[in-house]
Amino acid sequence: MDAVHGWLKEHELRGSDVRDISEDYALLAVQGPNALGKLGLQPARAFTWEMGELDGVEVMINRTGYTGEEGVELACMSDDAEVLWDAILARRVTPAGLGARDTLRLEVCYPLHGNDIGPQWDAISSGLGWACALDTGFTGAERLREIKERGPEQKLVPFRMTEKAIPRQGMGIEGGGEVTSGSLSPMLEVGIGMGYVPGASAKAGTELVIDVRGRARRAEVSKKPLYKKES
Amino acid sequence: MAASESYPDDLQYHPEHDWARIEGDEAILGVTWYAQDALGELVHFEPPDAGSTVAMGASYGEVESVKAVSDLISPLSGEVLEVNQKVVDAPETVNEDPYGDGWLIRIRLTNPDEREQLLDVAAYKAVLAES
Repeated sequence: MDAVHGWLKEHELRGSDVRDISEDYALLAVQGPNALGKLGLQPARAFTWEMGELDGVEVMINRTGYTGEEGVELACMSDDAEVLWDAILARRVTPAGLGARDTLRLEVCYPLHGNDIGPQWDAISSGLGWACALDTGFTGAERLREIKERGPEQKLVPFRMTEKAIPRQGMGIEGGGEVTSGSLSPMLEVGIGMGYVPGASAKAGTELVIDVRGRARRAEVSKKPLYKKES
Repeated sequence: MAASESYPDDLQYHPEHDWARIEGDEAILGVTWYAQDALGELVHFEPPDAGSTVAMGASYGEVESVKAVSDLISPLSGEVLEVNQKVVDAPETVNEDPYGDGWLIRIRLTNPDEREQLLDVAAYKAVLAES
């Protein structure tokens, strides 16, 4: 948040007023196959939002969930957060922490800022080229075009363990690379993760060797997503 | 199904939440109910090799839940005779039965006098009361 605020502040337009009001808001995510039904909401397009109300609390209903499941993120004023929490739980929703959420987003290979993406990596290496209109002149576009043309030195790839082990953030990958996210997939029941590997090792099927606290354990570069829900 | 809290009388305990069941010059080692409860459902057991040696107070392996990794501290010194393959294949066995099917390794004691330094159940419960 500091990075985003800093950037906007630095590029503040004359007459505009950039302030960080994050502390004034709270965000509760309700995710899962029955999320909409329990909240009495209709389906809507992803990445849209609307205003709504839950037990008297005014909420911004965001279709910006990050779990690979159906659901919404409800934003309200911080002062209303307790009431909103109770209102959600009263609809027979089970609380889950970030550890649980992390397994979901990792199974569908959504990169997490601070783990898999961040200022130390460029968007092309991080696999976010799809979100960059390189033919336009946004800040950094020229540099990204260069990286794309030349091919990134390192690439973010998903992988699954082919030996018994759970990869964790920060573990080294033989040949130069690092695990940026790792966990045990509850659906696949094997260790899964994402990490940066040399461009030449980024192809699906490539064998990786991960340093699991001193033990060399094999993994294989996979295609995205690591797990696809059967519909 | 997770086991309910218990600390059997016939075991010797190490304050790092490990237990030993001593039988002659051998011992079976495992982790206590408290340890498995703190970790949550176990999803991985990294055992030592059979034939390797373990030292009192030192790590002999690891157990992992989805969120955390924990060293296994050996309550006694010895040579590893057997690893519980059932726990390697199904680590949640430790949560279901930490003192029975969820045992971890069997060792031959190399320094049986070390048992004098272990805690009985009352002393271990006192450790838990302070934590």
